[in-house]
This record gives sequence, C-alpha cells and structure tokens, in this order.
Amino acid sequence: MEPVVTTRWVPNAVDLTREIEDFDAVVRLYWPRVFRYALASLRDRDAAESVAQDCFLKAYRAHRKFRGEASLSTWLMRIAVNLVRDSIRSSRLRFWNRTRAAAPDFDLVSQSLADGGSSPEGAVLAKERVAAVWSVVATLSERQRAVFLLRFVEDLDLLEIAAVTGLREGTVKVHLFRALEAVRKRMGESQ
Amino acid sequence: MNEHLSPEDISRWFAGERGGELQRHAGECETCSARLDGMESALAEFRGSAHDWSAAQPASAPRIAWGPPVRHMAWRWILAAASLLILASGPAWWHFRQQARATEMARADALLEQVDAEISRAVPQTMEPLVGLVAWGSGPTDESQKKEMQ
Repeated sequence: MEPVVTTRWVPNAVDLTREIEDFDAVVRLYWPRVFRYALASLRDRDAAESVAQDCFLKAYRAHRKFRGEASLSTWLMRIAVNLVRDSIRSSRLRFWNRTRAAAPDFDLVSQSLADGGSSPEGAVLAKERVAAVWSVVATLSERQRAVFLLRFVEDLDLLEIAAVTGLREGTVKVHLFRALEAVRKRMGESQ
Repeated sequence: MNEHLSPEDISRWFAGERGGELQRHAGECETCSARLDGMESALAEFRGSAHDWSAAQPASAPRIAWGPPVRHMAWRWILAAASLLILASGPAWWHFRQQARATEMARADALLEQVDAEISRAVPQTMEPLVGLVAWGSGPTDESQKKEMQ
C-alpha cells in the first residue's frame, strides 16, 4: 500500500511574511475556508462566525511571530481547528448541540445537485446520501470529524492535515480510515 | 489480485492507501470500480453540500481596521511623551542646577567675608563699644614718659 502523494507549491518565508502584512487581504482570502470548516464542525452559524473571528484576531495578534515555517493557510487552519475543539468542549455549545442539532439546508443541496444536471430522482437520492454522510459526521469523535472534514471538505492532503492537527501522518490515516468506515457502513445501510 | 475489494479496502482507498495491486484491480474490475465511484460521488456531494451551506450563510468577514492594537499604540504614546519630557526637562534641570550652585557659592563667599571680617577685628565685637570711649591719643606721650623717668 502506498500513500497518496500530492505535490503543491510551497511559498517561501519572504513571500509569506509579505503576504501577511496585508491582513485585510488575508482575511478576505481565508475567511470562507475558516468559516466553512467551523460551520461544518459546529453546525451553528453564530458559533462558527465567532470561531472565525477569534481565529483571525488570534492570527493578527501573533502574525509578527509568524516565520513562514508552514503555509499561511495551514497556520490559520491550525488556529481554527484548536478553536473549534475548544468550542466543542465548552459545555454551552454541547448543550446547543444536543438541543438544536442544526444541519445543512438539504433543499439547497438538492437544488445545487439539480442545477448540476442530475434528474429529480437522482437529486433526491443524492440528497439522501448527503444527509446520511452528515448524520455520520455528527456521530464521529472530535478527531475523526476534524480529519474527515479537513480531507473531504477542505481538500487537504494527509501531510497538510497532520500539520494542521499536530498529529502524525499515520495517526491521521487511522482516524480517516475509521471515519470512512463509519460513513461506508451508513451508506450501505441507506442503499 | 482476483478477489474484489473488501469494504475495508474501499475505506483504505479513500484514506490514501492505494497500493499498486489495488489500483490495478480497480482499473480492471467494473464492480469494484463502480463501488469506488459510488463512494467518491457521495463524498463529492458531501463536499458540495458543505460549500453550498457555508456560502449561503449571511456571515461575512468582519470589517476591522487591522491597525496596531490600541494597547500598543498607548504604550508607544506613553514612551514618546516620557522621552519628550526627559529631553525637554534636561536644559531646565541644568539651568536650575546652575542657579542653585551660584546661590551656594554666593552664600559661601558671604560666609568667608564674614569670617575674614571677624578675624581682622582689633578687639572682640562685644568690646567694640568700649573702644569708642577710649581716646588713644589722650594717653601719656613718649616725651612725658621720658621726663618721668628722668
């Protein structure tokens, strides 16, 4: 078994420190990704917005210490992952998760699938599949969910996920495998 | 590899473990290829739903003036004001010190003059009123003293 190898452009430290000087541009560029990750993890718009704001505030306060050892995106996502973890652990959010298990607007999802050219029947099936995946994601452990979302929503490769979460690549792979097993089993049940 | 991919193999595939044998079988076996495609579609739809859900939210990036934090600005102003105060008070302090030194010197001079005056007195100050009563010229002269001797 060989791991998937991805190649990507890695900017040098000078580019990164120059990039971070224009913090407005950094926020505009990375806000959608940070907010999306927080929203998918917490399923609460207000909490996700709060996490995204805290993430950029923390990044701004620490940006002079940023030396470009990791990419700017990795650095920001690392902060976001930690903030999401803290939010999940706070009792207030646990309460909200229990009482108000928000979920994506599946009508919107099926609309986007219908716009993609699939038949109404196909869109309904896709909607069910997507709902099944979301329901599994909600039951995953904190680490499994983080790894799964970073891989299949944010499209990060295993090394990037390892850098963002602070886990070893092998550990990332184990968490991802377990999350996929849960998804696959649920998909098998729903089909 | 003639056997179909096991369910765990499919999960491993999407977890990034795609060995040569697995890849070859997936390329040749229509059944396994379809199963992989089915899982891939589900994950792609999930990704699309997460992106659409996020994009549909009214949340937007905060409009914050990313200037230096207020606390840092305040410290800078305090340091600048303190430096200015030190620089401005330097000449004034030097002038005050010079004046104090001059006053001290004048006081020392006056004291010295007073001491000189005390030393150069013929009689103590308490006896000075008596000196006025004695006429130094009315005493016996040298000639009258000679006559008396003779």
